[in-house]
Order: sequence, then structure tokens, then C-alpha cells
Amino acid sequence: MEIPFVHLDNLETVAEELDEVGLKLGACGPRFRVITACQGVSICNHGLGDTESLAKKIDERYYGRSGLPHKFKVGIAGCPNACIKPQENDLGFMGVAQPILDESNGAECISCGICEDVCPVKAIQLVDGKPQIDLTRCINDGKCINSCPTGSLRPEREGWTVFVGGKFGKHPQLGWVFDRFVSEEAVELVERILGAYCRLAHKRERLGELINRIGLEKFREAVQSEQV
Amino acid sequence: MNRSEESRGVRSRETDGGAIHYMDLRGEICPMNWVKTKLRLEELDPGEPLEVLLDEGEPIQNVPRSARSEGHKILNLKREGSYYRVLIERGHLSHGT
Ligand code: SF4
Ligand code: SF4
Repeated sequence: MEIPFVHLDNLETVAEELDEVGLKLGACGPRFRVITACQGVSICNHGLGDTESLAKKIDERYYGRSGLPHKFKVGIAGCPNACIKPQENDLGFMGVAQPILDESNGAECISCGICEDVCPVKAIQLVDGKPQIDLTRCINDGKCINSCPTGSLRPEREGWTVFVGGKFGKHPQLGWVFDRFVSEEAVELVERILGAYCRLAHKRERLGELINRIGLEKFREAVQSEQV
Repeated sequence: MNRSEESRGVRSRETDGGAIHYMDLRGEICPMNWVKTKLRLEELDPGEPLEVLLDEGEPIQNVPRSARSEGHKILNLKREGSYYRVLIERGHLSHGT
């Protein structure tokens, strides 16, 4: 939200009044910008990841942090529909789930074929009445899991796909996949990525530009060697 | 018919006879198709079956899943052209009727 034409003399009063209703001033310049996230699993039918709680954790620790080489944006999407466009952020998280057939607990597959019908990439085929899942095609959107009427499909692996180095503006580029099925370690990974970025980037160099310059593998190594 | 089509419905379960309640919900949009299914299920005794016809797309992806999440059981689900025939067993949870 932007409020235009606030006179510099009134800035303090405006900030105080905003504070009273629980709003903070936004960050601009070379700082950790406001985190954007979709509603995620708590509201959206497609949601796989708890975007709200991850956004809160990152927000508490990093929002507004200064001393960065350039601006730093984080986007968190609950599923591969990617409504919040995690690939266009310096750091992006996208909730994912990898399906597996599991008929324990009485969840017997009735060979209805719904899973095959809903899969957007044709990764599922019923063979002898049971779904066979081609994980090389699967994009982990969890649609089959959510639509199965008997609960026979469950996530074998879940978590976040992590993108790094995306940006928009005059020279747009999509982020690279940095890691998959990240869960508990997500916040620690932010710390490491931020550390490596601050250590290696030139002044006014976005994360994507740094990776363009040194390559993804070098950056990955730098992140791994980062002490937290 | 490809291999996968042939393979469908082979593991459907039989019910133990008795009257099967029936509703044709083709042409009914979400969420009305689910509302009608839910109300009808609530009139039945636990264990009684209800057969519904649902359109492909959203209806078939949503109604059976909703029924399951409210404690009912999907006994059978079979495609018949552009719609599906679904057999639902009334669950044992009470819905405050
Ligand atoms: S949707 Fe579920 S019950 Fe139907 S074929 Fe797939 S795994 Fe089996
Ligand atoms: S998770 Fe999505 S892409 Fe993967 S098999 Fe299921 S429906 Fe297909």
C-alpha cells in the first residue's frame, strides 16, 4: 500500500499513527523487502504448503534488514500454480508434494481413474487397476492426492521447492531451482543464502546477477560453506 | 479403449443388496451438487448406499472428496462417457440431524 504526498515534516506523525493500527513502514532501497505470500493451505483448495507460517518466520527475522548489496525480495507460493510468482523473486518458495499409492489404513484404491484424469502432465496411468506414477514427469502439484476419493494417495515427500536469483524490471529473469523438498531447514537456508549473497555480491548487484556472474554451482558451494 | 480405460473399475466393491438411493446430479453446478448429496446422505442410515451421477471436471473432483472428508465412504466410481456414476456409503458420524 502506498500513501503519496506525505510531507517530510509529517512523516513521524504518520509513522506513529500507522503503528497504532499495527502497520509498519515499508522497506525500500537495498534492504530486505516485504515478503509476499499467497493464502496457502489454510484457505486455498490447491494449497500444499503453510505459506503463512513460513512468511511470518522470515518476516520476523529479516524484514527491513539493511546492509545488503541490493534489494532482496521473497515470494512464497503454496503450490505449483505459483500465483505469487516465486520464480520472479530473489528467493522463492513453492509448496510441493510427491504422490505415492498407500492403501494401508483401509484406504483401498477403487480404480476409478480420477487421479489419471486430473493430472495436468499425464504422469499417471492406471495399470491393472492401480495408478502408476511417472515421477520424471510429475510436477508435484498434489492434484491427484487432493482428488482421490478414497484417500489412497498420500504425499511421500513434501516441502518447498526453492528458487534463487529471479527478478523482474528492465532485465527480467526467472530463478534457478536451488533445492527441492526443503521443509524444516527453510529459515536456516534463508540465512545461508543471504550470507553468501552479502559476502560475494558487488554493491548494487542483485542475487540473480551474482549467479549470472559466478554460476549456480559456485553459488551453491558458497551457500553450503556458510556458517550459521 | 486404451489399457488404462480397461483397467478402470475392476476393483469396485459390491454392496450387500438393499435399496440403493439415487440422484442424477448432471448439470448441477458446484457447490449445489455437493449440498444436495450431503443433505441426502444425512437422511440415510449409516451404511446405506447412495448412487449419484456427476459431470466430469470440477464436480467429479470435488463431490467424492468432500463426501470422504465428512466421513462417508466411496465404494465405487466409474466413468460413463462424459459423466461418472458414484456409489457412496453413508458414514457413521452423526451430522446432528
Ligand atoms: S483416484 Fe484414488 S481410488 Fe481412484 S484410481 Fe486413483 S488412487 Fe485409485
Ligand atoms: S502430483 Fe500432480 S503432476 Fe504429480 S502425478 Fe499427481 S497430479 Fe500428476
